[in-house]
Parts: sequence; structure tokens; C-alpha cells
Amino acid sequence: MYYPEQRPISEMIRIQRRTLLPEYAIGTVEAELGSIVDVRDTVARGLVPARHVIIDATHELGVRADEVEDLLLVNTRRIVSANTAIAGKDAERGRRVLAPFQGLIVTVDNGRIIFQASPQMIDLKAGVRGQVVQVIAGRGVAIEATGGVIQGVWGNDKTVIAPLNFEPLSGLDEMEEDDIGTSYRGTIVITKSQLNQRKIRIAEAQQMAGILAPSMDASLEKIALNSRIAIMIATGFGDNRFTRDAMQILEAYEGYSGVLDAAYPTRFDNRRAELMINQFTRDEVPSAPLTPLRVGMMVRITRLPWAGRVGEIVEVPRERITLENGLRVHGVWIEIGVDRIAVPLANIEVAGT
Amino acid sequence: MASNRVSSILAADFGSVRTRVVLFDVVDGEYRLVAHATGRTTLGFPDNDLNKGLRRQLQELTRVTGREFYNQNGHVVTPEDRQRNGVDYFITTASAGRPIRTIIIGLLPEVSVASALRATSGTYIERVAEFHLRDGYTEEDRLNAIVTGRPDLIFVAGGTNNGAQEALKDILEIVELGLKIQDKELRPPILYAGNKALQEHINERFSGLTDVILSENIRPSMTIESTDAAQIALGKAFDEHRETQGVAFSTVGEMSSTGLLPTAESYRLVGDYFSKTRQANVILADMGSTSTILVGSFNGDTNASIRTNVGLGQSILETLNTLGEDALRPWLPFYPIGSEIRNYVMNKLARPASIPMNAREMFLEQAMMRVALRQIVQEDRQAWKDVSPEGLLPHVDLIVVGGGALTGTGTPAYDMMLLADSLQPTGITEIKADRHGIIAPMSAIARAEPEAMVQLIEGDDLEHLGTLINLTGTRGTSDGVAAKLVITTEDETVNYDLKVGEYLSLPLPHNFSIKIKISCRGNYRIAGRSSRTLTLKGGTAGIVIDARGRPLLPPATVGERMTVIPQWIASATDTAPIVLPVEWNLNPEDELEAEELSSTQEMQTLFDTIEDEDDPLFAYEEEDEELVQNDELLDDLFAEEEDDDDIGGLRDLLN
Repeated sequence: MYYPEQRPISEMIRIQRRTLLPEYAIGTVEAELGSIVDVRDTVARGLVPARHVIIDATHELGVRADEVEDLLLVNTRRIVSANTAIAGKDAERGRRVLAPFQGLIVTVDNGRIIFQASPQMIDLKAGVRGQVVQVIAGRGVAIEATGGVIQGVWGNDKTVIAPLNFEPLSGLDEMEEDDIGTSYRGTIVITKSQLNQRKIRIAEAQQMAGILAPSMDASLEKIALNSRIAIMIATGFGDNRFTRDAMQILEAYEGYSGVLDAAYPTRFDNRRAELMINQFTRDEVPSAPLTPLRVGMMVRITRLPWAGRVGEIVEVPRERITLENGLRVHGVWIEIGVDRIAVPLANIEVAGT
Repeated sequence: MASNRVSSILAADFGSVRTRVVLFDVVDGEYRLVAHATGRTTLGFPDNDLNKGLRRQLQELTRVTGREFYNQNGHVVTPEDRQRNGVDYFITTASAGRPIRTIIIGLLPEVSVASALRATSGTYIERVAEFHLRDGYTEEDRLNAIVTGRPDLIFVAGGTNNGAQEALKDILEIVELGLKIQDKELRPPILYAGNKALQEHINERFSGLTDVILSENIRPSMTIESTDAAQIALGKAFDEHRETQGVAFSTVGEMSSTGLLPTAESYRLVGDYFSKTRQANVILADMGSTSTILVGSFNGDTNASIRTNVGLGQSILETLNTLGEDALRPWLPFYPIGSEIRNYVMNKLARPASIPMNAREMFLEQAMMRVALRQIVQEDRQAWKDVSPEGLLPHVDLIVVGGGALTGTGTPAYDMMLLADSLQPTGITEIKADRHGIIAPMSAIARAEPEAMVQLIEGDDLEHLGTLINLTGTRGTSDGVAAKLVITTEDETVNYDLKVGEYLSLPLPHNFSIKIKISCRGNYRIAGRSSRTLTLKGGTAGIVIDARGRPLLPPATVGERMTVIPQWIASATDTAPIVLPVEWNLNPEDELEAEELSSTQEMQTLFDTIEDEDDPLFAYEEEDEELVQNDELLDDLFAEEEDDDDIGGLRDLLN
């Protein structure tokens, strides 16, 4: 029995959303198991350790090692700006140790001051309204929430909460960077075609909150990563469109506020970029069903030349099937319109609806 | 263990994309593979719990064997009960999950650090930094590696027993400071396997700061290396590291008899076993989604390595970044267009388990595998005993392959071709494949029931693909013959002229054997000789005679590769060659050809637009439009059909 991969694209679903600090951050989780959290509640705080320098204060001040601690002019673990006198007999004159950059004294060890650049602080927001169902020590929480979800394939490691807005009919790249009075500022803009550099530049100039695009050329990755705004790619790299089900959801939720969690795919973190439009409802909303593969199931194909197409499984052969490239794999036969296609099991996903 | 003989053994191996479960039991007095199942690893969304995937695979084993595995509390029953439910021994291994980020400390890079690296060859580690006397680091660099590098483990080697102490003490001073300035719960444990005389000092210095694990010195003297104890300690560290990764790993680790062991731990053992028992040169290669294992046992000495950043799924981007796009081009029968290679890699990263469905992506993936494995062999052979660092490999008597990449074409002779391209063995090589994950638990089985390990490894449970006969050389006779073959079956004798560059696959099934006389021509040689007569047994692939030569270089031009690579595949699979579109031979960097390519693409866009009118939400590329074949290609195809006559008859006979 085979359970296909799930990548939800659903208008209304109950989902467990993992909200996590980056792997390299040192964090503490503040939300409690079972608690209800709102979109902008802080669920965890973290800091990313920064560069440390070792300052030989005995040499700088001309004192013995055991005297250095008494000559500190600022408290340890307190952030000071660059060039602040941090040790010496007098803060204003004489031999002094100046902070090499903005940062803090970590400790004094054997006459050496260990000074750390200001660590990056992270305030992790819940992003959705729902119940905390799992606390992941030091990293964050899993929140069970309901609403519309589109899971994508790539994000630029930024998260925003903002209303959804389709690009103008003429396309995002037809806008001018200095257009004034547009209604896109602070919104997540959906562009229907491949993302390009011009679209990113316009979105930044127009102070949009984020972009949701179906695809992007991989050569644009660095530019997207360096962008100030959140960017999520829904379908894949290259030149793809949104799948039909994703498009329907986006149209249904235009104008609603959503969280664009543009998680960057790392090898071991298992997070996925996703857009969630949180809908709090008293109705019973099902989770994505974990159903084994069967004939009649509607599935999405993930690889070229059929990437993004949805079809019905019409046969699950016991033996291996032969693909057009000659590989023989365990797979299924899927019908899309008049086409009957051999697809590896590993290349199908269920949308979770 | 010794007093209670283990009978039934269940082993589950959690790869990044696949979970493989095998059940061994004693049948007719010998350990055998009784049942196996494979499914998706449930590490990511939405399950994030390895136990869910395990449960599905065990349900499959229950369906096949009737044996129940779980008790009412949802735990695997051990030992086996009177109704033969549960198992005596339950082993869990994993390659999935983040490797242990490790700082390695020693004195000399070529002595203690090298030994430490060899000790880690059975565990999945990611090197954060190496500190030693010649590392070129300042104290500040070392401090930052400890604090901002966030290691999970600090592995300290260095010094022969009762040798010099001060140099290592100096390096450890900054380690102590690095630990002191971190919060206690963030401090990594220290595994010490250095100068025995320093153990007390290490304990005094660090036990108040963090967990200290003391192991035997891996380099008790300059001439002796002893990594076994450190390897066991690293295995324990791996298990504890997985425990810290939350519920995803902890449930299965707790249930098993062994804790969660690194999958790679057994590869070295199995390589060493085959090497010693057969007095053979052996290679084990396993390329998975996240990591690649290579074991080389040459002239009685075994060397193992794990690359945790080389794989064809989750590590594919790191793999590409390491190799570079240009390294792949010589193996591609097309000119990559724009960001095609990187687009493919990013899409694969998003769906690491997925399989290429069209020819172009398949060639890309196979090119990455060939180039990556060739590079690893080139790096590792520097440490293989009495193996020249350059040039041809010595004769390899046995190759065992595992992992999806090397066993995934669905045709054993095709798998064999890819491994020949990647590893370039010479001599007469037996090929085995581990399709069910039998090797992974062998280290644990060897500790619990050594007899079981021997019987399982020597039995039929590792798939015998067949024999790969590798001819070295570049030049045959003037009419292009590399060797004359006389093939004798029970019923007849066939003469065959093996052409230069030919990959001849003879599908001889198990339990059959044939006699082959190979007489080389030109400068071709077989295992260093000009002529050999061999009696060979069949396998799932049969017998392959590879006259493509060693070193095996891909055809020089895209046009040649468009013909030759499909021809190799066709020979391996006994099918007609795939005919590739002629526009694959258009170079986008050549002005004239780029124009032609562009007009082809414009035509394609026109077709897409027409399709779009029916369904405006979708546009996809149809790659199997009417294909135009050039005359040369047709000539080659017909020529091949003529050549096939006598060997075709032999193939029919063998089949």
C-alpha cells in the first residue's frame, strides 16, 4: 500500500502549521501547549550568535590580567555602540578599550575581553489564529488552524501577513516603479506568470509586502533571496503557470489577509513555503486525508513534461511501468483529458482536499 | 545476547526519502531474508514521525507473513512471543535527518586528524571545522567556529599514548572558553579519543561544563590506528543526536533493540568482510538522496567515506555547486539552454524523491551521478592501499551497489552500465545490488549474532546482477574490432566480433552458465591479458562485456553523444535506441544555431498558444512532437540492426 506525497492546495482545510525559528538561531518558545494564539502573537524569540573578537585588554590598558574586570566601563551583556569606551580608568581620556563595533561584552577571561557583535534578534509570530498542538523545544510550535492553503516549492526566507491582491491586468512588469497612488502598497501581489527581475524591482519600489508567483528562473535565486519583500514560488522553477486549483483558491481569497511564509528549503528542516488564508470557523473542517493510493484518486503530477497537471488515476499496475525515457519504475496510469500517461509513484502528489 | 540465540530479526532503515524494512529468520537452520517492504519516509509534512512510515511497512509485512509486530501500546514486541508475533531483535538505522555538526581536533592533519576522520567514516557528520597545529586559524577563528558554528559534537583526538601533551592542551584552552560563554544547554558534548595520559585532564577541565565521553586513543602509537571504540562512541552520539531532533526520531529509537544507528556503519564492515574472505578488491557504493557512501577495500585494507553533501535529492544543490555545471556537459547529449540545469536541480530539491519522466532530465540526473561518483573515487583512491592516485583502477573483483541512484533504472544491465560509467572498474567484476537494505543492519547483527551476518551476506539476498567484463584499451583492429568472442552455451557456440566502444549485454539468467573465450585485438586487454577463457554464472543482468575502454571518456561532441549514449542504453536494455530531437544538437551559444533554435522555440510557443486557447491556465511543453531524424542517425540504426543478427540469436537463446 502506497501513501502518496501531500502538498495541500485547498480552499478550506484543517492543517498543522509549523512556525519555527531558523535552525541557526538560539531560541526559547513562549507559547504554551494547548493555548490559542492569534496571528501577531509572539510564539518564540531567538537570537543568532554573531562574530566574537578577543581583545587583549592587559596589553591595551597596560595592566595585569586580574585587574581588567575591575576596569570595565560598561556592564557585560549590554549592547553598546561602536567606539564606546568599554574598559579603562576613565571613559573620556587615557588608555581605553573602545568597542570595535556595535555589540556587547560577553565575558572577561584571563585579561582578555570577549566582545560579540550585536546578535540578530528574532521575534517569531504565530502567523495564524489557531491552537498550539506541539511545542518544539528551542525552535517554535505547530499550530492547528483552518483556512485556505497553498503549499509551494520555494521561498526567500521571509514571512509577511498582508492582504492578497492580483497584479494589474496588464501584468506586474507593466507598472512603473514610480507610479503613485497604486493600491498595491503593503499587499501580497499575485503574478500569474513567471517572476522576473523587473517584477521584483517594481514590487520593492511600490513597497509591496510580498509576491506570490507560479515560477521563477533559477538564475534569479540570489536576487530573490536578497529582496526586502517576501517571495514564494508555488509551482516550480522554469516557466510554469499556477495549477488550476491554486488559481481558483487565489481568486476566491482576493482581498483577504493571508500569511505568506516564504520558507527557504533547507536540506534537513522539512519546512515548506506556504500561503495560508486563515479562516476561523465553527464548522467541522477536515484535515488532509491520509489515504492510500487507489484508482479514481485525483493527483497532481510533479515533473516535466506534465508538471502541475491534475489527473485521475485509472490503473495501479503491480509490475513496473516503462516511462517515455526508458526507465522502468513503480507507477500508475493517469488520465488527463484524452491522454493516458505513465507516471512514477514518486511523482504524484495529493492536494489534500 | 550469546546465551539467548536470536532467531527473528527485524531491521528498519530510514533513508531521507525511503523507509526499507526487512525481516530475517532462521529457515532450515540458516538465516534468510523472509520478507521486505519499502515505502515513503514520513519525516516531512504532514506526518513528521518516522513511526508512521514504519507502521505502514510493518502492516505490509504482516499481510505477507501473518506475523503481528505491534503490541497494544503501539510498540514493536521483542522478543518474539510463542505465537511467533514480534521479533527477537529489532534494529533501526537511519541516514535521514541532519548530520552531526562536528569540530574535529587533533595535532597533525596527516596523523591524528586523519585517523579521526577515518573513525567518523561510519557516521553521518558534517565538519564544521578542523583544529590542529597547522590549521592557520587564529584563536578568534577557533572561538567563532565553536560559538557561531553551533557544533553538535567536539571530537578530540591527538597524541600517542604518553606522548607530548602541551600542544593539545593549548588548543583545548580556546575550546574551554568557547563552551564557557555559551548557555549550558547549548554546549556540545566532547568525545575524547586522544593521548590516554590526558584523559584525567580532559575530565577535570570539561566535565563541569558539558558531557564528556572518553574513548580509547585512536592513535595509541604512530604506527597503530585503532578506531573501533571511537566508532562505537560516535554511533552512540549519533543516536543521542537523533533523539534531540524530536518526536520524529525518538519513537522508533526507543522501540528498537539497538537505538538508532547510522546506516553507513555497516558498509565498511561488509566491504572488509568480502575483502578478507575472498582475498578480493571490493568497492561498495551507495548514492542516496542526501548522502553518498563509498567503501574501497584494496589489497586487504578498507577505506570508507561518507559525503553528507553529495546526493541526488536533498543534497542535489550542494552536489551541483561542488561539481559545477561545466563538469556535467561532457555527459549531456544536448546543449543546456539558459538556466536549464539549475532549474532542474531546484525542482528536484523541492521534490527529492521524484524521478525524471522525460529523456532530457534523465540524462541530466545520470550525468550528475556519473560525475559525482567519479570525483569521489578520485578523491578516495588517494587513501586506497597500493592504488595509484591517478590512472586506471586496479582490478576490482566485486562491486556492491545500493541507494536509489545506482539501482533505480528498473533494468539491472542498465544499472550496471551506469556504475561502470561512474566507477570505471577494470578486470572481471562481479556485481551485486542491495535493493532491500540488507547491508544497513549488518553491523548490529554482527555484534548480536555473527553467524547471521555471514549467512545473510553470503546468501542470495544481495541480488547477484552478474559479471561485468571490463576491457581496457583504446585501439582495436583496422575494422574496429576490440575482441573476438567465442560464446559456448549448452546448445551451441556463437562467434562474435566485439566492436571498439561496444557495450554488449548478454541476459544470462540465474542458475545458468556459459563459457566465453575473449581474444583481445589491438591494444585491448582483459585483466591485463590478451586472452581469457571464462565460465560465468548468470544473474538478473547477466554477462556484460564492456569494450568502451578505460579510462571511459564520453563521446566528444553533442552530436556523437546523441547517438552513442542512447545506443549504450539500448544495448543494456535490449530495446531500440531512443531517438533524440535534432534540435538538441543546436548550440544556443552559436549565433546561427541559436537563431534556428529560437525559431524552433517560437514554433513551440505557437503550439502552446493554440493549446492555451483550449485551457488558458495551462501551458506545458510537448517534447515528443514529430521527430526529424538525420541520415547519419538512420544509417547507424540500420547498421546496428545488421550487427545484431548473430548476437540477437544468442540473446534469444539465453532468454
